[in-house]
Amino acid sequence: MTWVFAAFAAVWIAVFLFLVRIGRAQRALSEELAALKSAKH
Amino acid sequence: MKQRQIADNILVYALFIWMSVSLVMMFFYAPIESEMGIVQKIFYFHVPLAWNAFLGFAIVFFASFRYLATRDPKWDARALAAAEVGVLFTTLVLITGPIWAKPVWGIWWTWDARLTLTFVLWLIYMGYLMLRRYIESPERRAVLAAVVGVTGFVDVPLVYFAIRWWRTQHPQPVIMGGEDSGLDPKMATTLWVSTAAYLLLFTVLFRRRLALEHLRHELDEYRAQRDHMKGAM
Repeated sequence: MTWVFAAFAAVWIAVFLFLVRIGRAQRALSEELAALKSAKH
Repeated sequence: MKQRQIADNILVYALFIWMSVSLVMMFFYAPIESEMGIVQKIFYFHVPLAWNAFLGFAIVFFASFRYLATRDPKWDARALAAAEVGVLFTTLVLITGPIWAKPVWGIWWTWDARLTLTFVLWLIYMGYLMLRRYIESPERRAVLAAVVGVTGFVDVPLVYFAIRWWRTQHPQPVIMGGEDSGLDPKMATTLWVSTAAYLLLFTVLFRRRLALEHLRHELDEYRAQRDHMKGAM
């Protein structure tokens, strides 16, 4: 059971890290875009 | 934009429900394999991850081909999003495989045809992502990446057919593997349910990654406008 749990945990940890990476990049880009839009107006 | 958000939310709920169903089936519906025991359950996510990684690379191939034909940046963005999710899934195939192999074979890894070609596949698409990072010009980056995206796909059928063409340590195919192969009906049903669950996961991750690329594109346009205005002043 330990092997199955280790494999399953690896899958979800990797998916979680991938989503965190995308979320951080999305936040950074949104902030920059908002700053550019406000500077334009 | 709002419709896209609703579709994303529906997909996440569907993923949660479908993944839960697949987990329940994995542990309570599919029988325990007589020789390998409980560790065989890894099969229900190792194989779907591999098949969905192939799907990702097929999307890279198609989108790269379309980019080379049309030079439309939306195809380049699709290829990139599919490549990242494909690499993530292949990484997980290369992690879950050895976790299964150690208790069953007694070794973590062996350089047989299927395993080696899967590792080569991972290297090809890691190279694809690295190439994109090191080329400054967006057009040149997209064209070179598209060429790698089209040619790199050659390895996918090699990985798939490796266990049919050569004698390998990796188990022989149980789906579409010929007369001597086969899977218990309950195991087969669980495998298909799990494959659908990982297809949903692939779709959710692909859409999120693509949304990020759309945002980057929008930002690039604003930056270009700003630079243009600065130049005009």
